[in-house]
Amino acid sequence: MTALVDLEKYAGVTCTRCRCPLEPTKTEITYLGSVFTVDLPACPSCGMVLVPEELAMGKMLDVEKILEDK
Amino acid sequence: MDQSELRRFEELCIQEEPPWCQASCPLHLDGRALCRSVADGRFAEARRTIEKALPLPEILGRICDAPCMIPCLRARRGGGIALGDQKNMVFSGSLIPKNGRSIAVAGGSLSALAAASDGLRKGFSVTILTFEEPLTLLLALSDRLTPEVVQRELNWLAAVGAVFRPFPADRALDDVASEFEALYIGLDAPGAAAAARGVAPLDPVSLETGHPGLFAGGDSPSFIQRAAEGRRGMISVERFLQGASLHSGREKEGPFETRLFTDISDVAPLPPSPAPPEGYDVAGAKEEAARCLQCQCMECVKRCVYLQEYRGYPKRYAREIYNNLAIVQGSRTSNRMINSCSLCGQCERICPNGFSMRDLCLGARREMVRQNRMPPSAHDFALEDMALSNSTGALLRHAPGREASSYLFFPGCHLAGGSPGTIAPLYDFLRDRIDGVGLWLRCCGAPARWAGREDLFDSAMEELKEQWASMGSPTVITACTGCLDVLRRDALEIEAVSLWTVLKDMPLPPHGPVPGEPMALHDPCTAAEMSDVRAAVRDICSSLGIAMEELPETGERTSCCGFGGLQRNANEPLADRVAAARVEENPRDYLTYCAMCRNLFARAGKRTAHLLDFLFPEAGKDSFDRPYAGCSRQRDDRLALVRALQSSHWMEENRPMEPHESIVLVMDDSVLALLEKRRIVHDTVKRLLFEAERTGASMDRGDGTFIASLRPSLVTYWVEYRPLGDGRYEVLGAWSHRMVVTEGGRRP
Repeated sequence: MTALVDLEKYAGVTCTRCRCPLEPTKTEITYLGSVFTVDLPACPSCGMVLVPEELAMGKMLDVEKILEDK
Repeated sequence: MDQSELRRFEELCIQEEPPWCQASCPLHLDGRALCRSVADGRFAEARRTIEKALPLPEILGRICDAPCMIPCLRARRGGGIALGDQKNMVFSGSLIPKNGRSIAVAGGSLSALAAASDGLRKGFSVTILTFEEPLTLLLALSDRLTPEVVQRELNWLAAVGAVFRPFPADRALDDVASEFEALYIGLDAPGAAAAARGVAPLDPVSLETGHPGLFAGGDSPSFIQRAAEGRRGMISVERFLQGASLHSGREKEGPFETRLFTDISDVAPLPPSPAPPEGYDVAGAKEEAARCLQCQCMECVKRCVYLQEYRGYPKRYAREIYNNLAIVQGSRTSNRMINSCSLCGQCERICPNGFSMRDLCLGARREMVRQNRMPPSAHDFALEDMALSNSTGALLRHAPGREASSYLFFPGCHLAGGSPGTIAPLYDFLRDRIDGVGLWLRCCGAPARWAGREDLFDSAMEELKEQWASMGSPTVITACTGCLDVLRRDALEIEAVSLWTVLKDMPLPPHGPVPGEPMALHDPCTAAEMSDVRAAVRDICSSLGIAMEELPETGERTSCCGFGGLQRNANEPLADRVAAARVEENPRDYLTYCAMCRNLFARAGKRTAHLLDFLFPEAGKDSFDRPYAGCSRQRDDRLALVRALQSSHWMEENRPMEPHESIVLVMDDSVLALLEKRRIVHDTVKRLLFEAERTGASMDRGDGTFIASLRPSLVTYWVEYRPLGDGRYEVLGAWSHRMVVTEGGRRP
C-alpha cells in the first residue's frame, strides 16, 4: 500500500501545534490483525498523521471490506 | 448451523422439486427443460435432455404415451403440453468403458432393450437374448416407427457393445441364466413371456422373481411403462451385483407426486396446437413448447427484492450460508447477504412450507457474532444509536404530578426521531383519556436483536424489564409495531398493547381535513403478524374519512421498507431499491403507521404520511411535507425532545449541555448530504472540532482551513473546516476509516 497518496498535494500543510510542515512518513496501519505500511503525510515533530480523504474512502475502505470478509 | 439444521431448512424450500411432467414420467424426462430448449430452437440441447432420461430415445421419443400430459399444469389452462410429439431427434452412439460384469436381457422388445440400453450405460457387458426379431417386434408397436428409425436404435445398441443372440430354444430359462451374473426378462416380447412362464415378478419395486439374479417386467399396456420397468429391472440387476438392498430408497424411481408449488391463478388458458399426422415441423414444435409454463415456485423471490438480489432462492441460500459459516480460511463471500435480509418474515408467510429467511439469517448472524466473525462495519452505527437512545435519549416518568402509572406510553426511537412534534400532543391526549399514563422514551432493543448481538440484546431487555418493574409493572402502549413485536416475543411478563388498538376504542381527537383522494395503505412488516392492529388502523382511517387502497402485497403478506433487520446499515444500495420497489407499487400517495416506513418512503421521493400526521397535525404543515429525517437529525431531535418534555411536562432542569454541544456548524447541502451518506453525525463533528480546538491537534492548510480527526470508538473521523469565530465552523468535508493508524509516524 505504498505510494497511494499524492504526497505533493499535502506539501503546504503544517501541524498547527508544532508549526512543522508535514513530511512523507512510513506509517503502519492495522485492521483486524493485518498490518500494512504506507507513506503518509505526518508531522516530523509530534508524529500526527494525516489520512487523506481519497485514501480513506478509496483503497482503505476496499481493504477494510476484504478483511471483514476474511 | 449443523448439517441437520441445514437439511431442515433445505427440506422446506421446494424450488428444486421436479415439475409435474418430470415427477409423473416413469423415466423422469425433464419436460420443462425440453420445452425451454425446443421453444428457443436449441434442438441439440433438447436431444441431450431426452437422451439423458430415456433408454431407446429414438423409439420412445416417437411412441411414448406421454403420461406427463395429465398432471401438466398447462392441462388446467388450455391443455397439457404435447411432449410426446416434440421428440423427433437424432442420436449418435458413443463408446462406454466396460466394468467386467456380464449380464443378459431376454426378449427383443421395448422393456428388454431399454434394460439393455441402461445396462450398457452402466458399463455391463450386455447380451440380448432374442426370441423374435427385434425389428419386427418394434415396428409392430406403432406406425410412427419406420425401419430406419428402429434400425438406428438397434445399431446404436450394437455399436456400444450389445451382443444380439437368439435364445436357445432347446434350453430352459434357468439354464441359460446361469451363464450370466444376472438376467432381466422383458415380458412384452411374446417369446420371452412364454419362456418365463412361472417366473413372474413377485415385487413391483425390485421386479425380483424368486430366482436370485433373475428379474422380470414390462407387462404393461403403456410403452413408457414397459421401458421404465426395463430401467427398474436394470437398477435391480446393478444392486444385486453390488450386494446392495433391492428395496431401499427407490420411492422416487417411478412416477411420484412432486412437492413443487406453482401459482397458475393468473395464467390465461391457451389451447394446444395439435401435431399434424406427419408430426410437428420446427415452428409447430416451438409454438407448442412455448406453451409450457416452465413450472417453478419462486413465490417468495417474486415478491422480495432482497431474495432477487443474490439470484437464487432460499434452498440455495441455505447452502451458501451454511458453507459461509463453515469457512475457516478464505473469503466469506456471503457475509453481506446474511446481513442484508430485512428479517421481515414475508417469505415465511408466503411460502407453502413456511421457509424462513429470517430464522436462517438471524441464526447465521448470531453464529457469526459467536465466532467473532461479524464484520464490525455491519451494525455498529445502529448499535451506537441504540446506546444513545438508552442513555441521553432516554426518559422514564410517571405522568406529571403522579407517583404511579397504570400505563406507560412507549413512542419508540423512530417516532421520537422522525416526528418529535407529534409526541407531546399525543401523550397529552392519552393522559386526558386514560388515568395514570407515564412516558417511556427508550429503544426496545430491536437493533441488537437484528445484529445478532444476543449479549447486548439480553442486557438491554434486562434493563428494560427492571425499569418497567420500577414503575409498578404498568401496561405498555407502543406506537411502533416493531417495539410491540420485541416486547411480545422477549418480554412476556410485560403486558404490551398497540397505540392503534387503544386509539380505536376512543373518541378521536379533533383533527384537520384529510385528503379527498384515496391513499394507498402500507402495513409495516412488523404488523404483518398483528391482525388486530391492522384492523384497528383501518377502523381509524374510516372514522377519519380517509379513503384507502390496499397495495398488492398487504396485511400479512406486506413487505419491508428497507429498514428492518438493519438492511440499510449493511447494504444501503439494496435498501434504497427495496424502498423504491415498494413505493412504485401504487401511484397514489402512501399512508402508513410506522415512523421508519414513512421516513424511508419520503427518502425514496414518495409522498407519504403517517396516520398520526392526520390525528395530531402540526399547525400549518402539510402532512406529506416532512422531508426525510437523516441520522443526524433523528439523533438531535431525540435529544431535543427529551429536553423539551422535561421542561414542559415535569418542570425539570435539563441535563447540562456538554461544551461541544454549543458549537454551531455551517454547511451547504452537498456537505450535509455527504455526512448523511457517510453516516457522520453532527454531534461527532462538533465533538471533533471541540477537541481539536482544545488540544490544538489539527493540520493547517495555510488558507484559513484546517483538518482534524477524532476516534471516539471504532471509527476515526476526519473533518475539513474553516473556523468562523464565535463557536461557528464551516464544515467543508468529512470522511472516516476503521483502520487504525499506529503511531509509526512519531519520531522517537
